[in-house]
Amino acid sequence: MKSSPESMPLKKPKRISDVLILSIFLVLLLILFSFTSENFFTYANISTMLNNMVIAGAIAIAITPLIVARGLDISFGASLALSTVVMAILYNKGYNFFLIILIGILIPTLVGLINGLLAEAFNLIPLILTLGTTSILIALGQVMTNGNSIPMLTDPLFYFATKSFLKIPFPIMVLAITIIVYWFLLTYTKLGKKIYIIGSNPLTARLSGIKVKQIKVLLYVLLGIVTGVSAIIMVAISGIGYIYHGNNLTLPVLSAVFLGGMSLAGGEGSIWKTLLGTLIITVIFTGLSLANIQFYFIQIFQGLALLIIVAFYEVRKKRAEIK
Amino acid sequence: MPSNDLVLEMKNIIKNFPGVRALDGVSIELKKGEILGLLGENGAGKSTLIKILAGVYLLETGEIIIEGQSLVFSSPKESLDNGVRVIYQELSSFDPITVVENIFAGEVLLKRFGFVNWGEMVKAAKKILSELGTDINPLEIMENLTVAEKQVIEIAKAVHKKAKIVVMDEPTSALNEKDVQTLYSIMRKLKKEGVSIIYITHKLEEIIAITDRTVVLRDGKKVGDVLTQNTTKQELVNLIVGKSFSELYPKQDISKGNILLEVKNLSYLNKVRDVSFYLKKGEIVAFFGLVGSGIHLLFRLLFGDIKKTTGEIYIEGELVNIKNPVIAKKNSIGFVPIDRKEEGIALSMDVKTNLVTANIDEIGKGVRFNRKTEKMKALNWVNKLSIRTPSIDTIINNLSGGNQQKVVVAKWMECDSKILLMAEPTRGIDVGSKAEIYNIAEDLCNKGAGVLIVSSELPEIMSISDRVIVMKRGKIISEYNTKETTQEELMHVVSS
Repeated sequence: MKSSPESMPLKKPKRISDVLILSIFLVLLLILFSFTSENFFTYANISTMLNNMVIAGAIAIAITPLIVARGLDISFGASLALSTVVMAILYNKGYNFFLIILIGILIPTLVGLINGLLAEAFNLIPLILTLGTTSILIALGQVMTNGNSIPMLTDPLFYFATKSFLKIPFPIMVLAITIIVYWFLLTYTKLGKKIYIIGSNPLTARLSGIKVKQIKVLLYVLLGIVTGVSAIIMVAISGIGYIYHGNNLTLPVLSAVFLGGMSLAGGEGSIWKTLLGTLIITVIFTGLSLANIQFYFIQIFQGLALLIIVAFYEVRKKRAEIK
Repeated sequence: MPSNDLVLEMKNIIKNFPGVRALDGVSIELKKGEILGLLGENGAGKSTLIKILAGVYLLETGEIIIEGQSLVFSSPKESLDNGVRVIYQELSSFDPITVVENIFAGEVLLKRFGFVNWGEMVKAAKKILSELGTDINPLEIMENLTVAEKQVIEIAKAVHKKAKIVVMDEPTSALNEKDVQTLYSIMRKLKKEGVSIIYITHKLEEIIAITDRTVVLRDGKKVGDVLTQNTTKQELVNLIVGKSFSELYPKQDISKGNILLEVKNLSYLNKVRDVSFYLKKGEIVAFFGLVGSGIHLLFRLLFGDIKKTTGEIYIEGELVNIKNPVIAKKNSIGFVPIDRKEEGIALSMDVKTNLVTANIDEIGKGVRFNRKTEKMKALNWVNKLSIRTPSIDTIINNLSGGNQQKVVVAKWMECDSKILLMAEPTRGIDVGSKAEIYNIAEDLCNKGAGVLIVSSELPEIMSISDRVIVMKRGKIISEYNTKETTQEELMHVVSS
């Protein structure tokens, strides 16, 4: 066997991994905020912070494999909001609690199924398609509520939102379970392997007898289920059903995902990177809030962080290609 | 010939990469108006040599002399400025721009007040194109052009920049016979005007047809430098691999078994019409036809990538309804598509993943994917098919075309395909890998599989198939035992 630069490229020196860079960035942020606010590292703050990231975090995790497989769904905010609205309306009409919870999960699941089927059956561009679904869902919710919030205060949900087990708040447990399930799915299962192949080259995947469309629809549906669970957490934390609940969700979720180095070209990304992305976004938000910076300015910082990191990834990729 | 006739001399070029000597003292000469063929397997050093000439790699040891002047290029631009134009395999044309913009590539003719003088530019482009004997509209958008036309544009660019030396890296790998002839006539025109051409190809027929002289590289050394008219294909092959032709393509006599696949009256719209044929165990049947003959669609029908309009497919006597690739795979059909990078492999994934892509469901129990099994299986195929890769964790994009193709074939062997459909299985890969692919196909036949091939290379069809089926406009027009026909006959049938 011979070796030559054409048939046997030599291993490039190992690049510093994305995970390491993200971790360093996170630590730097933590150090920075521990100086700007002395309350930063208290149990109260950390648990509030984690509680704040549960919903965005769970959805960011669930959308990760979908984006790996070159799908996309930006209607999660609207779908979550509509679900909270329907739950609150049904609650006020006196329906059975468990039925309400079930419907709360079913609505986003159904939205996911419809998005997935439309995207795959008609090869629609998912960004545009789900932008369309978003506006339909929001409009539906507005019709139902006139844009008003509807209270839904229940004992079990209040208990769920405020109590903890072994000092771990219940919502954070939900996030932890989501992370573990998706991490296992992407890393250790046949489905996970197929998802990466689909993302790398959908045509090759199809011509290798992988059920590309079915798998992608499944990922839309799974995202729907997680969105449904998140809707319940949202009602539990806020005590209201509100069609604008999702408004401040889309940017943090997508920021978290792209901070984690995902690309819409598919084939790359991992649960850990998304998780790091979520942590970074959350820390920026909390740190700035504690430093008494106005909400709108915080959004500017979040946007800037996203731009800087995305630009950073691009530059890094180009460099790697040149080498 | 007097030495002032030399346009280019590359003397004693040595190029080292970490751990490997890619070029070991190679010297070539190129005369004015000469077409020099450059032959060699992938990894022989052709690309490295050209990249040094193009200023992509820095010249470390050796000398480049262009028209008597010793030069060192520190960037591709300097090489371009000295009259060297390399037309790479993957065409560099930017698709959404017009032909004329592409030919002028960034430079513009200006009118007064800084307005772009489109009229002049179009005129100039038209002149160059008509001199090259084509009637491509300079205002056409690049992406509407065929591969062949894009190539002509690349050449037009070279003419426009007054290139003295044009290097063509496997220009015909995506061209049909007619386009190849057009390319040849353009090359002859350039030659007449005193432009020198370095022509890189894997196809010996082309070397014989168009070049004046041939340089053969093997393992970074020059092993042959012959006048083309004084050599034979046989000799060139021997130089390329250091083996004889019969060693390379040893057509084994494999006993034929029962009928494995039978197709009855298969049709797809009006593009594949009423096609019936059979394939026996141990048999290699080749389909031959020009563009529009439907041979590629036929393969996609058999693999369920497109849905048949009418017709029946029987596998080992049983009627099957192949609605999609999943069902095709279940029926032990494997498909090696024509476009390796777009459809055969997942370019950004590693070698081991690509080796098991079609068989993921069998690796590990239940829902779990067993990485150990994956690794074992991958190592097994890398050894069995001598896939040249630094490791099974290497991203497949870094492998040579031939080795990528072996991975695609191995993918189907991994899931025990009994019927292998191979579309242009050796397109763009070197002679050595070609032989290996043929050997793999024959081994499969020995084990009772059957192979269908679509190929536009007649020598390939002649050397490995048992039967040839010729198609034209979607219909089978004739069928031969390969032994009882000739390339000339096939070419005649298909083009008459």
